[in-house]
Amino acid sequence: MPQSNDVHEAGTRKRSTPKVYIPHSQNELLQLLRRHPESRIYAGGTALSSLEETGRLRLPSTIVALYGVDDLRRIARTDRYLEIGANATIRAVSRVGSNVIPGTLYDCLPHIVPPGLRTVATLVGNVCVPGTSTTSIAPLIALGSSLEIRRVGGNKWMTVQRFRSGENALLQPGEVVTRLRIPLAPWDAQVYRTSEDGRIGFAAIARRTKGGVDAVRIVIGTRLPEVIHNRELDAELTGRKLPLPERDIAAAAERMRNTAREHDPGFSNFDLYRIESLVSWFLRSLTRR
Amino acid sequence: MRIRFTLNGKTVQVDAEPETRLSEILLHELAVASLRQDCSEGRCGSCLVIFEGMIVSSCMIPMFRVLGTEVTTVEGLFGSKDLRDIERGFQRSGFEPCRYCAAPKTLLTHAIISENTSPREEELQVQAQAVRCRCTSYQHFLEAIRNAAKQRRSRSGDT
Repeated sequence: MPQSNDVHEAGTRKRSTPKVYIPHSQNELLQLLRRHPESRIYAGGTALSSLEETGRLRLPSTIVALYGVDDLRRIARTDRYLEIGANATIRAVSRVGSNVIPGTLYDCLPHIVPPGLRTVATLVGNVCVPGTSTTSIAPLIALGSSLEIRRVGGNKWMTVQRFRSGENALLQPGEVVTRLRIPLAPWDAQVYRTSEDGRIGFAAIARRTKGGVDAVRIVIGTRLPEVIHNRELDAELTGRKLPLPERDIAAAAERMRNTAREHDPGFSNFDLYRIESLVSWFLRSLTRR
Repeated sequence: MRIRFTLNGKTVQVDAEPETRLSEILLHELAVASLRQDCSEGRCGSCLVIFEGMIVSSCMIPMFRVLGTEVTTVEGLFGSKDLRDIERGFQRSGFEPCRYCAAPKTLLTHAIISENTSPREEELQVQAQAVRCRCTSYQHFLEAIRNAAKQRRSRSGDT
């Protein structure tokens, strides 16, 4: 494919034509990434393709497209896990159905991209794109999901929480995420709520046994890459008897509000109020369910 | 880069840069009259096409992705029984979309009922939001899709 670095008359450097590689197997994909560590991975392309005023999309200079690798479209279910290939589209995931996909993730799927892009955008792509964590990140972290990261000569598994925590700079050169693994634990209360302005994505799951809370996880996605997840609060709520006293619900909501304020000082009072309300609502709903 | 693909059943070949939008080529190189390009970020649904059997906003598809694929616009349905089912379904519902969104809503309806002539309500409600134009009510559009699906079922002998 031709590449040009011509200079426009106005003196600005002309953008070069992107080089596109389309592997047809995972091995070929890994070899290409080793040879071109500077390349960006193209799955659905909806986040990679940023806008430009002309009729072109602004793409990175070297692209390795995943759509030729059939393996990566696979969605498989075992007794314990749901595994989603890196090139499985959001539409394909939602078609698996609400009886298999955990409720908190299923409810979030329509909010990830506009409906006209659900047939090309991928769930793994949404996890890998740096930026906000308001859509699938919060439910996936709540569910304890992990990612398979492959490179030539090895692979590793990493939790979505660690992947997004900033410690790992997402992917190293030559690496690619090939699978997302979601544990299929029997959570009997699962919710996902998002604010209409897309500033907050609230995911919460809980399991109850014998009139008490067996386990609970509350994760809030924000406009930052990292989520708000107060593990101490989850641990404190675990083992409590139901119904939770009103004062404990109020205290838990207040703690989450404070955690949110520390996490992102840019939250408005209204955002903090919404977080507090969602936590209270979820904890109260545990009694009603 | 020379790109060959199938548009409405006919093979076409265009010279395009790999990052050029599919919508741009359809509009300006291939003069597809039904298409519009409004938001250019895949939100409005005015540039919907059926790409490899799936409905998608063509403004977010780069041309390198189109190589060797099949693209259908509403022109590809002209004269077909499928289009007649949709028109009858729309008429039966008294559904009259504006000129701006008639083509994408027709194509979207075709994509939905071609995949499943008895679409699940939940799925229908998500998919129907792909066209943002609100010249008619959303509920009215849903009813029109249901009627079009009913027409398709009765033609194909399904109950």
